[in-house]
Amino acid sequence: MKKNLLLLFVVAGVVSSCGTQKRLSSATQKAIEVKEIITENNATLDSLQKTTLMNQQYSEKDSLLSISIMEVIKKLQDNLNKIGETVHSVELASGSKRNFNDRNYFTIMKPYIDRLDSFQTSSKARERVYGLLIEAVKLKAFVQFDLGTFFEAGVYRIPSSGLPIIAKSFNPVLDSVIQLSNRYTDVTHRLYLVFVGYADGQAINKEGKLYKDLSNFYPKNNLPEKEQLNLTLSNLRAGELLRNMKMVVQSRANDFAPKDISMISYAAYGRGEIIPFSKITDYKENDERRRVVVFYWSVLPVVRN
Amino acid sequence: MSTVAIYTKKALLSQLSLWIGALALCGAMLYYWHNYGSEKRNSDNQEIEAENISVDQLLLTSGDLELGNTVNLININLNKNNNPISNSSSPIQTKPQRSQKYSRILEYKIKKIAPKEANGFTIKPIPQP
Repeated sequence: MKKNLLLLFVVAGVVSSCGTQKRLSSATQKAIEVKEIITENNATLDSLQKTTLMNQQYSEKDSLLSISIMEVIKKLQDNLNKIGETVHSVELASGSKRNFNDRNYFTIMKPYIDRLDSFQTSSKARERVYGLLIEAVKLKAFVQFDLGTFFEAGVYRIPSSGLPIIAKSFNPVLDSVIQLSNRYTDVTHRLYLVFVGYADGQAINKEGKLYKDLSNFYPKNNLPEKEQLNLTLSNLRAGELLRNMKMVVQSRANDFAPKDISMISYAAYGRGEIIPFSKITDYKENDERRRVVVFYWSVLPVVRN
Repeated sequence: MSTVAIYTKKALLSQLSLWIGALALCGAMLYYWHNYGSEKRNSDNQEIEAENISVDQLLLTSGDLELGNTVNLININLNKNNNPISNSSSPIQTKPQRSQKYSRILEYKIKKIAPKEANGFTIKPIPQP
């Protein structure tokens, strides 16, 4: 009887030890694989970060879009760091076989292993998110589409008769926006349409209607300077184009695959007398090339932490 | 001639005419079945041909593109027979090339848009240095 009990204990011990060893080696292998993916993804994100910074510094890209791209990269990096901490914990735990025995494995280690599993199984979805981000960073919308809305001196309003012209001119750009958005219907994403207005360096006649319109934005006891007025003028120009483009986008709502245009973020701001195209050096004070609204766009994945 | 012989003869004639009728029906059925099959094949072929029209052919013509001598490839699928290495050109392989071409076409079309002026504003290409 005693001999039988002893044999039973020995067999149970061997079986249990085998299970522990199997779990330990599987966890170690998973940690190695996840670590490799993290390294690879981190390298991609670093490269995208550098490209975005370079674009912001050396080419004429919108700063709002650059900030949005950097925010997405930051969130993805945070997610990688979190999973990196899990890998580190598993590596530490694998130092002791005890952590992987029947009792400790299910009470302590299982949640960590599950996190690694879920990270591995979501690799395809992650690849798509990275794919969209890579495309967004490489986009040269501003350079590629090459269209600007130029205003006559002192003008900022676009009459209703201008809407068909705006629609016709910007539809090719919208086609590209829709095409990229529709290719990533499986990735939660947001469209960004940004309008940046500029004004020339001319002074505004204090007797004119434009001066009255613009000075309404300032308190009466603090009359605005020429630069401030031109900043307001550039803001109004950008806002006016945005208002019209919203209508154009609305008319194309059915072309978007999810038929939902609520995932579009619009932004419009003015930069006043700042030079719009830094490569051009022969600007004058009264120069049509400075009375312009330029348009940027991007499609970025929505990343949750 | 006995009555039995007369009835036997009539029965044989009726049987023969029934057989002839049955055979004629079978012949007609076979004839129409054959015709229907060949018509169906023809219509199927037309459908297949229609499916094979590439997007390039539908969207673009050389006149529309106004391409110069430097660009001679419009439809990549049409070129596959001239290329001994790649006998099959899947859409995945041609995608980047196509997207490059579409980008160029788009760029070209945007540049072709005449400046539009409407009460104080103009939409036109951004000035280059």
